[in-house]
This record gives sequence, C-alpha cells and structure tokens, in this order.
Amino acid sequence: MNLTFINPALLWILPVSLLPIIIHLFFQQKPKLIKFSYLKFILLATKTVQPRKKLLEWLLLLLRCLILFLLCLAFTRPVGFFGTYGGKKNQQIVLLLDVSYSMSYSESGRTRLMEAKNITDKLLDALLPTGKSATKVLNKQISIVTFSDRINEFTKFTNDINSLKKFLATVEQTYYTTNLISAVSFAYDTFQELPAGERTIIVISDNAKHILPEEKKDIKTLIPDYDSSVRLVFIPAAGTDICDNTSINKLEISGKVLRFTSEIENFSSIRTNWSISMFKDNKRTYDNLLTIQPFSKLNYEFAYTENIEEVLTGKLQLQEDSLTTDDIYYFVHQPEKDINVLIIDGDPKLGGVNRESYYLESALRGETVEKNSGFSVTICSPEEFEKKDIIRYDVLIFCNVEKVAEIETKEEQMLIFFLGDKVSPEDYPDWLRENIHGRQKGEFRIGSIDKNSAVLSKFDEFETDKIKFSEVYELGDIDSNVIMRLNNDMPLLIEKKFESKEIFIFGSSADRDWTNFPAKTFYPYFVRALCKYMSKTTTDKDSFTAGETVRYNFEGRVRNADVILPEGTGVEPAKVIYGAGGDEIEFSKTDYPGIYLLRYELSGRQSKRYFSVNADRSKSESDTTLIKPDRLKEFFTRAYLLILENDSSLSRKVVNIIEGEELTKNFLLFALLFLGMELLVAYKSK
Amino acid sequence: MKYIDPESLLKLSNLHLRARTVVEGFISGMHESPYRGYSLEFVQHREYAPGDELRHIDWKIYGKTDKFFVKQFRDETNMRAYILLDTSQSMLFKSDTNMDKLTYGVHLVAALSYLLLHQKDSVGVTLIDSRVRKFIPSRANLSYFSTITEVLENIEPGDETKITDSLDEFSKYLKRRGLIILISDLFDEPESILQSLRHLKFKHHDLIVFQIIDPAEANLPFKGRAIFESLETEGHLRRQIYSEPELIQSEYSNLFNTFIENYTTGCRQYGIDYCLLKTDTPFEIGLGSFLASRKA
Repeated sequence: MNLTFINPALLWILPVSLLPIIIHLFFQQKPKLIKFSYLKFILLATKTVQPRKKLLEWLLLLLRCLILFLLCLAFTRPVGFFGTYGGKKNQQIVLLLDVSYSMSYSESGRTRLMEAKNITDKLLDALLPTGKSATKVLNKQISIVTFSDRINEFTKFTNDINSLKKFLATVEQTYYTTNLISAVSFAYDTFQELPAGERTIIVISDNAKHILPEEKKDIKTLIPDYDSSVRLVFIPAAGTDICDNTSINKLEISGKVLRFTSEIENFSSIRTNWSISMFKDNKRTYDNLLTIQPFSKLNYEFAYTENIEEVLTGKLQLQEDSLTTDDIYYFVHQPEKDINVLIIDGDPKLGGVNRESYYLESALRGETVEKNSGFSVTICSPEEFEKKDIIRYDVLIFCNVEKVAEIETKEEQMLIFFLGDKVSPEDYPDWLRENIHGRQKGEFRIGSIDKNSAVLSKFDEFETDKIKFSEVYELGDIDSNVIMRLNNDMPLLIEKKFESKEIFIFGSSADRDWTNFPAKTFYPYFVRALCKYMSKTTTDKDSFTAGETVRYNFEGRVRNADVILPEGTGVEPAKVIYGAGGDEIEFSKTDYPGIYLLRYELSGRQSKRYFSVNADRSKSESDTTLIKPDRLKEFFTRAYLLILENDSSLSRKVVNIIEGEELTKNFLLFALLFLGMELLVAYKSK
Repeated sequence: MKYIDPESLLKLSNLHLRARTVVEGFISGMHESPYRGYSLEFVQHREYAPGDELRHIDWKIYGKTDKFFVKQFRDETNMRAYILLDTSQSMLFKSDTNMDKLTYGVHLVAALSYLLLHQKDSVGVTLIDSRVRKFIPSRANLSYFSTITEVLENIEPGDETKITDSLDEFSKYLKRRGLIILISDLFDEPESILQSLRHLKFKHHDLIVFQIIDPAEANLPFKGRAIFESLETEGHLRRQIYSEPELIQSEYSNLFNTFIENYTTGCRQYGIDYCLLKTDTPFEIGLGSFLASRKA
C-alpha cells in the first residue's frame, strides 16, 4: 500500500506516539530495596502473576502507542492506494500549467516552465500508462490548460496520451501575469460539461506569492462554482525558495531635456550591485552601476542630454539575473512639442525690463530656470493681437490689457488674464466682467492654495510667505474655482470654464507694479504650471503591457494599417474600425515585449507610429518568493488541498491521490477501537 | 477491658516491669483467677535426716514423740513449662511503627514466664534458630524470673529459621513431660514443623504455638517497584527478588493465607493450641488465648 499525506507537515508529530514508551522508560521510579523476612511467597507470586501482568502492561503500552500513532496519522490526512488501478469510475483531471512570465525564472540553466512541462509529462505517463496497463486509463479523462492572467490554451478531456503530449510540446512562455483564480474557475466550468465523477485539479506553477490576490476574499465570491470536494493538488516547479530577482518596475520619460525616472526593485534577500544600461536602437548609450538594498525599491533617475528631434525608441536594461523578462523595459518617447504662448502686453512702456510682460517672458523662456524650456513665446500689443491667427497658440496671456473683445478660441486653448492699472473691466466681455470687481489697496499676502487643484500641485516646495501684494482686484467666484486666496480670504487666482474656453484670472499684475511676486522663485514655476496645465491630457499612450489591446484614434480615414513586430519577427495586420469623427486602429497581438511599429495610411498620407510593449510589472509577478501553504489552505477553504514536493516519488503520490482513498476516518475508527481495547485491558490488569 | 498496646509498653524501662504490667493488669482485669486453689498440699511425715531444712521440722510431733519428723508436701509446682523463642534473622522484620517480631516474642516470653512463675509453675526458656541456641532449665522460683529476663534482654539474633531441627534437638533436653510453648514466625515448611510438633505431642507434652507475624507480611502493602532482600542469609549471600508488590499483592495474600491455614488446620488436627499474633496485637490477646486453652 502506498500512503500520501494531505498535511505532510504534520508528520513531525508522529514521534508523539512514542510518548507512552518514553514515560515508561524514563519516568519510572528506581526500585526501592525492601528487607523482608520470607521471600518464598513473593517469589511464587511473582513467578505466577508478574509475567501475565507484565504482558498486560506491555499490551497496554502498545495499545496506547498505537492509539496516539493512529491519531497523529489521522491529523496528516493520509491517502492510501492499494495498487488496484481503475477501481474508481470517471476520474476527471485538469492539469493547470502556469505559463506566466515568472515561469521563465531560470534555475541551473532550466526555466521553471521547462520543469513544469517535465512534471506534466511524467504525470501523464503515470496517470495514463501505455502497453499492458492500457486498460487502467479507461476511467480517466484529462485536460491540460495553460494559464497566466488568462486562459491561454487548453485541450478537451481525453485519455489519449499522445494528443496530450503533442499539445504539451507546443506550450510556450507568455509575458502575462498570473491569475490562478480565473484558471481554477475555468477548470470548474469545464467539469460542468462532464458527467459526475471524482474531480482533481493539479496546478503546476512556480507557487509564488503572486498566484493569489493579496487581499483575502471569500472564495465563493471569486469562484461561484467553487466545490470543496474537488481535489486541489499544487506541484511547485520551483527548485528553491530563493528569489534572485531585480526588476525594472516602471519607467517615465519627461522633459525637453529627457529625464528617465525608473523604479527598480530588489526582491532578493541580498544587496545587489547591478549594472544598468540604456539602448537606443540597439546601441548602448548609457551605463551605470546601481546598489539596491534587499527587499527595497530604488527610484533611479538620469538625464539624456542628446537633442531629440524625432521619436526615441529603445530599452532600459538591468544586468541579467534569474528572471530576465523584467530586466528589460522597452520605451518609446515622442519628442515634446513646444507650447506656443502669445502674450498680449497692454503696457509695453519703453520695453525691456519696464514692460508689463518682461517677467512672464523670462519665466517662460527659461532664462531663470533652464535654457530649453519647451515654450515658444510671442509678445504682441493689443492692436497687433487683433491681426494674429490665434489658432496657432496654445495659451493666450492677457497682461494688463485695457479692453478685451469677444475671443473665439479653439478646444484646449487656454486664456490667462493678469490684471493691472490699465485694465478697464467694463470693457471686458461679460464672462470676464462678472468675476472682476473693484480694486483694493493694502498689504496682502498669499493666504492659501487649493491642494486638490492639479494646477499647482507642487506649491509646497516653495516659500510663499514673503510674496506681497500692494494692490489687487477683487475677484468674484461666480462659476469658478478659487485656486489661490489672499490672507484676507479674497480670491487671487480663479479658474473658470466658459463654453470651450479654459480661463484663469490672476487678481494682480504680472510685473512688479503691484507685487514682488515676479521676483520670487515661485513665479516661473507658477507661470509654467499654468501654461502646461492644458497640455497634459493631450498625449497619446505609447507604452503597453503584454496582451493589452493597442488603440489609436485619428481624425480622418485610415487604410492599410499593419504592425511590424519586435525585432522584425513578422508583420501583422491591424484592425481599422470606422468612426463618424474618424477611424480607430486596434491591434491586440501584443504578446511579446519589444518595440512595435504601426504603419498606416491617414487621409492618403503614409504615416507610422512606434509603441512599446512590456511584461506587466504592476502585479508583483516579479516576486517569485514561494507562497505559504497556509495561505493556500486559508484561501481554498475546506478544500481537499495538497502541496506535493517535486521529487522522485511525485508521480506515485499523484497516482495515490487520484486512485487512492482518504484514510482519515479509518484511522480514527481504528484509534477508537484500540481505545476500547485499552480500557478493557486496563480494567483486566487491575 | 483496656489493653496495653505493644508500642506504649516499650516506653516502660525494663522487661521485668513490662512483664509485670502486662500480667497484673491482665489478672486484675479478669477478677477471678482460674488458678485459685493451686497451693502447697501436705502429704506425709518422715524421719528427719541431716540436710533437711529445719523449717520443715514438725515441732508438734517432736513435742509428742521427742523425735524429729519433717513434713512432706506434694511437688512444689503443678506444671513444667518450656518456652521456645525463635531468634532467627526473619524475626527481626518490622514494618511501620510496629515492633519487630523478636521483640514482640521476647515480651510475650517474659509475660508468660511471669504469669507461670507467679502461679508457682516451673518455667524454662529455650532460644532457637537453626538449632537450640540457649537452654535455660525450668525452675518454679519466682526469683528465677530475673534470670529469664536477663537472658531475654541480652538476646542476639541467630541464623536462618530451621524450626524442625531445633525442635528435634530440644526434645532431647526434655526429661519430663510438660507444657511446650513455641513462639516463632514459623517461616519454614509447615509439614515438617507440624511433624515435629506432632512428635512432641506424641510424647504427651502439651503444646501451644504462638505464630507471630508482622501485618506487612500478611498483605504486602508496598507500592512501586521493589527489590526484596531476604533478612536471612543463605551461606553468606542474601537472596534478592525483583518484583512489583502491587501486581502480586493479591496472589501473595492467597499464598500467605494458605500458609497460615496449613498451621491452623494442622495444629487443630494434632490437638495443638495455635494462636496467630500480629505485632500490632496487644499482648493480652496472646495471654488470653493461652489461659483459655489452659482452662479448657
């Protein structure tokens, strides 16, 4: 008979069954010496009684040991297989094979997926023997399902080992994350299509922590068909619990001077010194060495100073470790266009430092911060403004302008009003006049800034205490949001929307006539933040995770769209979806990480666009630390759940579980029987 | 009647006093002595011969006849009693607060001697173990009690118990028939002991057997595992047996009771008075048993 244990960890309590013997041997009193007058009767009585009593005593000892032994064994939930195949009808087995990217973790030159396939192959041989034992397979139906965060592929239920092995040979690594729950749920669904039988799900994965959601949820809510009578067998394809992995979790590229901001995480228990490199079009352009503390994240930043005129594609790569998939992060960066700003200066004076727009221009051109600021600034007088093609500009700044006529703006165009002594609110359009009231003199300071406003999100980094205002306009908050207030609670900066217009009104001057604000370090940041506010939402996404569907919308008709796969491995057509306002391109074959090139014909013109695909790092897939058995048992409540070691006896154990019977009840019954015998013998011996 | 328990008797200073305390207390408690009427009785006159005690001359006859005649009486004692005390090593056993069997026996011998001498009987004491260790001939003189107590107080335990051999040897010392009182634990083969007793009975001796045992010998009250070592040596070695008293207690008691039963039945069969005494039994019980048998 072969025994397998559902709770093998409890086997360590088996020595408890020796407790009666230990007590008997080590806790017995030393015999005391008694001087006695006549030993004849003691000798006779001892010869007559003691052997029988001793025998009963040993029998009691044996029975007590047996009772404890059986109880301990019952706790381990033994499953016994008595060597008879095919005794049970309708054995239905789903082999869930994990093909997520963490399965590419390499140990001794073999990936965990290779090991998982090897395990599956052995199990198929054991469960579906060929040759003389071929009749043993008739009661079994096996399906192989490969899963990651989705069901990748599966076979129908069969006992044809050849077709199953053929399928197994084609199983490949994916770059998706793991979702065990959806895979188990799928297995339950497939069972529903079969007649009643004994059902087993065998999960062959790396058994890492990430196979289950971090939060404990009721299994019934996750898997409505959850059936605790279905046996769940976990076989880890991982050789060790050591996680030798460092991952690039994310990468952001920003700024005119490109700033690469990456998050790198060390999942191992040792400090790692890794080299990091940046490749532009497969050419190494940046190198450095990192030190990352165990179990910690590092925000690593570096600047790429080369002037980028066109799209930048490449990858950031860490030195290779056991899991290489997350060592590379592909990126595509579209060069940022300058924001076109038109400043209408209502008080140019004699020009130079005296003009109203001097500080605004300085702030935007970057003379006080950095050279390539990303703003293209044009200054004009109110008279010149009337002749300007304002469609070209992203932002219009009215700076102490006396009169403002009705302005026709385009979508996403922004109007900013700085006030001053020249301003005549009654000559402003109604949607402005209603917010601008009388002037007030005094000494004002900045009182508060709306922390929830996206406009000035980093104001905490600056000192605003020393900014003073000697004269301000009293602003009303009709149909507007107040972003800044003065210390007397009067609005200083308001934001309002009118029709398609995005409007900001600043209650004081843009130069130093009424305030010292333009001379403070906060001023350039303030002006730039205002001007950039609208441009944030306009960028199309060009970074995707593996398996994600890529969608781009166009204002016009699109034809002949296709995608060149990474490393030129092939070309796949992209789907064009007709839309009234313009067509949409959809592409979903983003299975492999790399740089993809989308080619299309837009309104008769040949165009292209790059996008990058990376394995999803957002779900702890890179952390390959093994999950604790208790966590699995806690999750799959009341399930017949086993975690088997991947050792030489694995196939035998699996056959035991499939073909065998759980013997817990039998062991408990025997323990009860022996307890009865023990009581009887104990009574007899007295 | 309130008995004096053996333990409190030990508090008295000497054996003489203890024996007297036991016996006098016992007699006064009985109110009526069954031996009243035992006294010296005149038989005849005979002519004085040199050496006769002058106090026995009948001066009235001399006045009438002018010749010296002395009065002759019956024998001075009614009975010759021989008390045999077993002094073997096994008699040294004691349990708890009880006195050992030998001490108990010594007290019993002293009390019986005192009683008998008090009644003008002749008493002799013999100490036995595997043979006759000491023989004190019987005398009827009350002052002889001192001699007896002196011997008893200086007893040293002897060898192993061989009652049969001792009785056989003792029988050679007996010139006249009398009362033989055997005080022993009788830890020997009952058949052979009874055979020897029967032999003495056959010679017209009256026999009383006091079997003294310790209560622990009867019921083996020990707990836990034990190594029992014999008090008596076999050659130079002491025998040891490993046993668990609690396990064998029941069987042991059966065997011991059978052993006692053998003596009870055997003695009854041969007309021997038998009295089983435990060392926690007051001596008066033993004396009572003795006197009851004498009265009968």
